[in-house]
Amino acid sequence: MHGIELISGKPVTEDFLTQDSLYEQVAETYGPPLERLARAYELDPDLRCDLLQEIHLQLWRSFASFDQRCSLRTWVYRVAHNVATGHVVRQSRLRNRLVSIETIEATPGNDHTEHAASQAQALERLSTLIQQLKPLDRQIIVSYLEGMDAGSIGEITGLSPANIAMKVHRIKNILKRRFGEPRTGEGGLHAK
Amino acid sequence: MQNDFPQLEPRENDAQNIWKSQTTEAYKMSADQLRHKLEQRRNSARFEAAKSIASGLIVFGFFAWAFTRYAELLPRIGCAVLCLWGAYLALQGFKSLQKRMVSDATLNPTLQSYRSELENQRDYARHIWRKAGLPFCLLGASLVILPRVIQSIHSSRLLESFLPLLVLFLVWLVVFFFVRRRRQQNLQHEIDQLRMLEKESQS
Repeated sequence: MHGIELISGKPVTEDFLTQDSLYEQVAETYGPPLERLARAYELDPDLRCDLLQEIHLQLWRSFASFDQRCSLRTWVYRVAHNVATGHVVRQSRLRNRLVSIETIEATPGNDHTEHAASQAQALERLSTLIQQLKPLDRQIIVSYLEGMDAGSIGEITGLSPANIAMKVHRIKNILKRRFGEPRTGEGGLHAK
Repeated sequence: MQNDFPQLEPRENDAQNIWKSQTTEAYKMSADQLRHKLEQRRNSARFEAAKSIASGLIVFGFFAWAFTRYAELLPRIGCAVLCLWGAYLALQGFKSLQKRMVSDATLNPTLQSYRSELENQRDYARHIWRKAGLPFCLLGASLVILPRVIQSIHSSRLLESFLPLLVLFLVWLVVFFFVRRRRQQNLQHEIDQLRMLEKESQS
């Protein structure tokens, strides 16, 4: 049995795990992360709302066959990322412009020299960076930003720990370059 | 949540903080809303399938009517082939209904799921001709049109009028196939990379 008990911090018995109640609790626990995930895949607010609805619908449908083959968190993120990835892949014009973490890392011209004056600016930069990435790299950076460990990212994506460590190392390099030390007297990501 | 990556520097932690500090609303759908949405989805799938079936039947009906209007053999064969095309479209519409009704988010790891999505895209582009029954359509249309074109080939004015259009069409065709081939190659390259990653991760 994997981490079912994480719902609202209470142990959950199997007979309690009906489709509706499971969805309700998951929506409560994972609502904000799912919304952030949708933002990582869609900039347009209307389309994002549709995507979020689709993620919720597919989660609810999937709970009809929740068999605890993996932890509930892994299940939720797999479904959410898969729905969102499908959304990106179907927009073929957009898909053709996406790049990998390796490409971004190797392109120094993309670095911002000045620092973000506000949190909103920094968030916009971060979102822009994420929106450029191919779905698999986007899944890793979003999971990393959500504070997940390598094991959890591996469970969700199916990548080996070595691959994830390499990708995360590159993500950290990019974040360091783009959101680096502010010049004296300036604000920056650190300023809140 | 535990984080087993090496100790983060303050700047990188900031990116995580910035990301998590986004304002979010408590988005939740009620059980009724979910069931309603699902029903809407199913109705829409039925409607789309019905549209495809109706289009196929209209094509079938039109060329069946045209069949009776032609006296020559070749155009009649052409119309018969186009009738077949219409029937094929209707059948494809019917088949697509089942597919639309069961489409579900996969529970596979996201790497595998992404690769499958790309493969579906590749196969769709590769088999679009067969799926849309375009060989039937082109063969039938050629049989109907060609005899007329051959009859009027002696008129040089007709040829002069159509030549620029024909050249433009050929240029478009070459560019279209070039771009399409390049996209397919890029797609295949990405699929191969993902397969390699999958193999690495399994070993």
